[in-house]
Amino acid sequence: MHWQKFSRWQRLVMIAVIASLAGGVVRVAIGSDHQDTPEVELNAKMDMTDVYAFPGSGADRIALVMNSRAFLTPAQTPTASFDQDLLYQFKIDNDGDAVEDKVIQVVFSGTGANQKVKVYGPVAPPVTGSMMNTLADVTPVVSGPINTVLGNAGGIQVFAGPRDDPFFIDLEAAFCILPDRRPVTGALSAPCQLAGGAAFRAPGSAQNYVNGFNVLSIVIELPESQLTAGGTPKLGIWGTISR
Amino acid sequence: MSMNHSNRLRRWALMPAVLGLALMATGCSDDNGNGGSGPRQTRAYNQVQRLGNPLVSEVLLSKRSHATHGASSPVDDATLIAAEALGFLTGPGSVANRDPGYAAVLGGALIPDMLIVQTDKDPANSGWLTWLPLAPFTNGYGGRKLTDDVVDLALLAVFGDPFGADPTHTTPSLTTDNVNNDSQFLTAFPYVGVPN
Repeated sequence: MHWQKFSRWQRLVMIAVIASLAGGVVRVAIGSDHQDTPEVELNAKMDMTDVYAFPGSGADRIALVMNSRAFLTPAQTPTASFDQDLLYQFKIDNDGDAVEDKVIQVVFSGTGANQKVKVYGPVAPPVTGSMMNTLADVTPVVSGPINTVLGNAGGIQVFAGPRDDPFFIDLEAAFCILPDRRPVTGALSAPCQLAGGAAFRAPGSAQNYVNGFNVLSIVIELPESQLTAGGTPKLGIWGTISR
Repeated sequence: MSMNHSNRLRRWALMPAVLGLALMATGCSDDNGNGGSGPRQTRAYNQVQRLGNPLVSEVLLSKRSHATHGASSPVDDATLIAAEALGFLTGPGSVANRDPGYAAVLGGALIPDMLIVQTDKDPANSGWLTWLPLAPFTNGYGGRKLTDDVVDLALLAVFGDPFGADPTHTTPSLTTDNVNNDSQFLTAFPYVGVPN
C-alpha cells in the first residue's frame, strides 16, 4: 500500500483513524469494566466486570446479573468467594431523575465454598448516592449458601457463585493498538506479540481473550412490579460495589 | 463486713459481666442480617465501582477518570463526566470526530449512565440500547442480554453510523473486534454459564 495513492482527503481520514486507534479503542479493550482502575486491578474482588438486565422466566419478571472478580482462573474457582467486607448493590431509578428509588443490597459472610449470601430489598435506600451507604434495617428477603439456587415466597430467586464470564473481546489485539493502556500486572502487561500489530484481527484469527475465565456472579430474578412500584414502568438500573 | 454489704458488692461486681453478656448477645444476634460475622448494619460503605451501560467509562473517559466514575452516581454524570464524554465524540481534538448532533444523540442515550429498561414494552425486543426510539432500535424493552455483543455495538455507535445520521464521520475498520460469544448460557435461572 502506497501513501501517494491516496488523495489528501483520504490521508486525512487515515490520520484520523490512526488518532482514533491511539486514543480510543484501548479504552474499550479494558473490557466492559474489567480491571477498570489500578486499585481494583490489585483488589480483584472489588472489580465489577459487567451488569445485565433482561426479561426473566415469565411475564412481569426481570433478571439482574452483576459480575465481579475479573479473570478468575479455573484453578482458583473451587475456593473463590465474595468479599464479606464489601456491599454489592443493584440501584434502580423508577421516576427518571437518575437517583435510586429502590436498592437490592447483597452481603456475604464466611469464606470459600461455604460462604453465605444475604439479600435485602428491593427497598428504599437508607442513603442515596455513592458515599456512606448503609444496609437497610429490614429482614433479608433471601439468605443461604452460595452456589445454590435460593428463593422466597415473594417470587425472588437468588444465585451467587462462580460462573463462566459471559463477556467477550479480543483484548490482545486491543492492547496492541495502544500498548500504554495495558494493565500493570499479568500476561496482558507484556508487549504486543501479534504479527499484525496495531489493528483488530480478521475474523477467524481474532481471539476472545475472556474465553476460559470465570467471574463471581450475583443473579437475582424478581417481579418487575417490585421495582416499578411507586414509579413508572421505565427503569434506570446500575450496579455498585462499595467498601 | 455485713452480709448486706457483701451481697451489694457481689451484685455490683456482677454488673459488668451481665452487661458484657448482653452486649455479646447483641453482637452475636443475626438481627442485622450479616450472619454474625459479616459487615455490621451500622457500617457505612463508600462506592468504588459502578456500572450501568457497558463501556461508557471505558470508551468515553480517559483512564484517569475511571475512579471518579466508579465513586459517583448517575445523577452526578452531567456535572462530572458529560463534558469529557462528549469531548471524546466530537469537537476539536476529539478521538471520534463525530458530527456534534450525532454526538449529542449518542451522549443523551448513554448519560446519565444507567441501563434503561422499559418494563411495559415487549420483552422480545430486549437488549442493549433497544429501548432507543431511533431506528434500527425499536423503542423496546432495553436492558442488556447475556448474548449481546456490546463491544461491537459500542464500536459501531462510536465509529459507525447505526442511525444513518452521520455517514461522513465514520471509521469502518474499527466497528468490530471480530469475536463472538462462546459462552453456553442456561435457558433457566441462573442463566449464566457454568464455570470453566
